[in-house]
Amino acid sequence: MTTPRLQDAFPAWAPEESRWSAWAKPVMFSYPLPAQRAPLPAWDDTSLQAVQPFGGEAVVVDLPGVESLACGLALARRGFRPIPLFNTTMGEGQELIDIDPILAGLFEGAGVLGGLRLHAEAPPVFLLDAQRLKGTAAPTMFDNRWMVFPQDLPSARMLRAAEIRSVTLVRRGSSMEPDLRGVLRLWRREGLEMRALDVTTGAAQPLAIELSAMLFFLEHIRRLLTGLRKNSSGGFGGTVPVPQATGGGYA
Amino acid sequence: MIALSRRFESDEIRDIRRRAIFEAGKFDPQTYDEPTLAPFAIRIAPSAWAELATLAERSAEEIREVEQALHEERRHWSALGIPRVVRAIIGAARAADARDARFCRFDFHPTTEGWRASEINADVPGGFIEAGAVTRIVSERFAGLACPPDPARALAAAIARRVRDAGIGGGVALVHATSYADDQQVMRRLAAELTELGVASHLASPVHLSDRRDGCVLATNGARIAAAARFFPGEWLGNMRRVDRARWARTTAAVAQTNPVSALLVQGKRLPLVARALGLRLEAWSSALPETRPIGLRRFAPTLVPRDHVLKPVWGRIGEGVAIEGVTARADARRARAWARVFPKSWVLQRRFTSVPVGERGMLEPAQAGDVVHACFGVYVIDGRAAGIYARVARKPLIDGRAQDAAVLIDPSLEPDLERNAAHGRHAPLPRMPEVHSNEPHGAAA
Repeated sequence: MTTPRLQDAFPAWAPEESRWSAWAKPVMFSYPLPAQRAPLPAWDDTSLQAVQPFGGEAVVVDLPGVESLACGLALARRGFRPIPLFNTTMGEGQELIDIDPILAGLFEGAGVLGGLRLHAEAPPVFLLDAQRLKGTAAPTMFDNRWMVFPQDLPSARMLRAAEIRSVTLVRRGSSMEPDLRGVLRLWRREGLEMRALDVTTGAAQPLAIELSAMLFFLEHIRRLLTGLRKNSSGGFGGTVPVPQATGGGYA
Repeated sequence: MIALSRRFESDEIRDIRRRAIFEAGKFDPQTYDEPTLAPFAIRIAPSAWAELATLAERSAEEIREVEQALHEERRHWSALGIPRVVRAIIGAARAADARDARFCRFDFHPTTEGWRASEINADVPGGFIEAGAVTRIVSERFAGLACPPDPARALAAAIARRVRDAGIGGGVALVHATSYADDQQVMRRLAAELTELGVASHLASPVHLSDRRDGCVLATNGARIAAAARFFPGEWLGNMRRVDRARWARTTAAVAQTNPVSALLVQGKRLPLVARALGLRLEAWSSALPETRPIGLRRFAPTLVPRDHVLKPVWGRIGEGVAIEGVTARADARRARAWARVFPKSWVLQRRFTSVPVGERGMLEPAQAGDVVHACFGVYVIDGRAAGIYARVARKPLIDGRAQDAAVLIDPSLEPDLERNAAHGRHAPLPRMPEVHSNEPHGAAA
């Protein structure tokens, strides 16, 4: 009997027929499948009633790891195409973000997606882990926190070309990490409507104020004064470098 | 001399992408709305590859000598534009020596004046996956074309030699910014190549290296370390806490390194200015690098950038901050000029060159149909030998973060003598060529 590989689950999450598959992050599918795999949590669909596929709407889910996956699969059952954007690294020793549950969820989710017949033009639901920037790494830990950047997602022009006019952020409460705020601000500046859906209440509201330049600036100042510190473990800190700066290119 | 291959069919593009991800370990196949891999390869004549390889090897030799000389000239480090904290790290670290495996990459452009260089990446150049494993995958589609050497294999071999020579036991710490999957993919590629050579390696951040009485160990898993391969930019080491900076200098002194942090002395774009002031010779490198000028008092001039120059940040990478009139977006160019006026020592002026676009029928044929791109060729030199090449291509004559990666393959049919002689039914000998590789797969991503 062959050992299942997470790599084999990638085509289910990034099928050739969907234009949004190009943005699915492959790195998680290159990791070994954990031996212990807990099932994904059940998802109460009623909290997502305000989100309708083929209404010119894309979705960004920003919930903790496996919840994000479960929510994405619930939206898939409603006709959306879930696109995983998890871009976490894996290291030696104790990792700051435990990625095993997400790896197991991606494997389980591939089976679910295989049973759905999603339309090739199904609108995208981009899946993020709300825990991606949480925590502090001790020097003995492997800091595998990560950020999402505008280049990780399609541009507003690309979304509009697919008849998408608005984006709904699905989250719990009202928190939003600054990296995602940067992405959504860019989309909003380029003409997409933004709203947020709180899965706790099922209520949706516009995101205009949260994405305003003034709030963005104040948040930056607050972090400078209170949150940011020199990071000594190769992760994030006072200066967040541009990832492409070393990954490949040159001038 | 240089030409694009045919454009790949859509099923070929899908297959190359899939194998690039899961065989080569390229986990950034998409950026913004574009795939990062170009839908074609670049063919280059053996003589062009030989010319680039020779130029890069000669330049690397000069650069190493200049690095050694600069290491003794601490009072000039500030003039190189190196931040104070980073200067302190270089000062505290041991000087580079024969224990260290050295790698760098020179970036060349085909221009109306021949090959011109835009920069040297002497500290932590990337692109190892694209120049090695991805190029091998692409080459399988082109019988008769040769693969250039794989720089990841060459670097792994150089490190493995140092580990064995050290004879202290232990593995290689693959030091990188652990939060970035794009950076880690390079380290995982190197790990796969080291595994093929029977050398253990460990993913690590700079603070994971700790010193014990019996040697250097990793704080995460206690593994003993004989060499530190750094893909963490030297200038970012300055972001660490003071105690971590001191420990980095202390722990890496006892192990083989690639690259030692003194590589930063020759990484910045102010190098030609300081080398000139000190009378250090860079003949080969200067023959390819356009004239570089300081901003100086031009910061007060109504026109900061003369028409025949471009403005570049001293520590810029992947084309960020470069202002080229008529190419760079106006708002970006305005921002670059404003910063250059405020911080003139962080910027330089470089004489502008005219990039020659490349199409399927070669260069200098503007009326070609199909893909026509501007290309920049990154040539790796590892321990003094040319060790690989790949290209980045763009529709505009500025290679930046939105440019695509293209495999470079060596095509004897592009040899000018061969073409001429073939027309006359004669055969000409090929020029001396650096090592080429077969496209046999080896060392899948870890």
